[in-house]
Amino acid sequence: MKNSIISGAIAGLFSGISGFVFTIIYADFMGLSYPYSPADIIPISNIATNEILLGVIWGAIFGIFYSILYDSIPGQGLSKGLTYGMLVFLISRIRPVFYAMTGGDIPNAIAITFVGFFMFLIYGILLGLLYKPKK
Amino acid sequence: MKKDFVVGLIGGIINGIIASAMVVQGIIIGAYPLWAIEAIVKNIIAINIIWGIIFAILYSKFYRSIPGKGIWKGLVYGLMLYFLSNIYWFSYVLAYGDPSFITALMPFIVGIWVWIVYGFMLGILYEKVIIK
Repeated sequence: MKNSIISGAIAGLFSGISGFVFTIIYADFMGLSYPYSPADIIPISNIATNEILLGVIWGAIFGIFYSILYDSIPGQGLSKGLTYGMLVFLISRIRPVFYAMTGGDIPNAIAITFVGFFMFLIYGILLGLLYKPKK
Repeated sequence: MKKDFVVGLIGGIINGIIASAMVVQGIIIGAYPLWAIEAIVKNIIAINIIWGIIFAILYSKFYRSIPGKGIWKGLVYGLMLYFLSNIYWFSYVLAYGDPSFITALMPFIVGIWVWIVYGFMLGILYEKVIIK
């Protein structure tokens, strides 16, 4: 696929679905904190909407940045996408988590890191497989 | 490797200075509780120095792909980081309805000028120290 926005949005859709699944596993099944919220219970429909909708929107935006930085990212195909996914994970999730931890919000910080890792792992792999730049 | 170290050092110092100003703004708008200010100031400056180094090294790695020329590359890079980091965070906090809205607004409002200054200064110093 030569369109970075569509490739990113598709990868973001699956990343958002994984975000929904891992949030449910982490917060509801394991009884730990929800990411980005101090609430005790969040309706499943809200989690699904938030994760999938934001996953698609941000997937498309990250896809644009991927196409801009493409030549400078090390690796080829899947490994290139994976490197990019982990880089975005570092910038988008790990860095803000440091600030959350300064406010003592440790459970939330762990939840954001845990769910985010799987989201960006899936996002990076799919983006690497889907996006092929114009020659 | 030596180049990366110099760029990292530059980025770390820039971000450390910016962090101090950011903390002052945070205190003014009441985002930090008074009893915890000393610890927060130390943490934020330390975190900003660490991330300033990381982002400066990434800047040198992605330099040729970043749109723009000269110092403008730094500004574009700063705004890209603002999007990837602060706006991303803000959108999730907003979607999940964090009751402490001020904590969500901090990275959104304060973040814009922090990244603009960081990007510009990184762009200028990179051109002066590394390119020349």
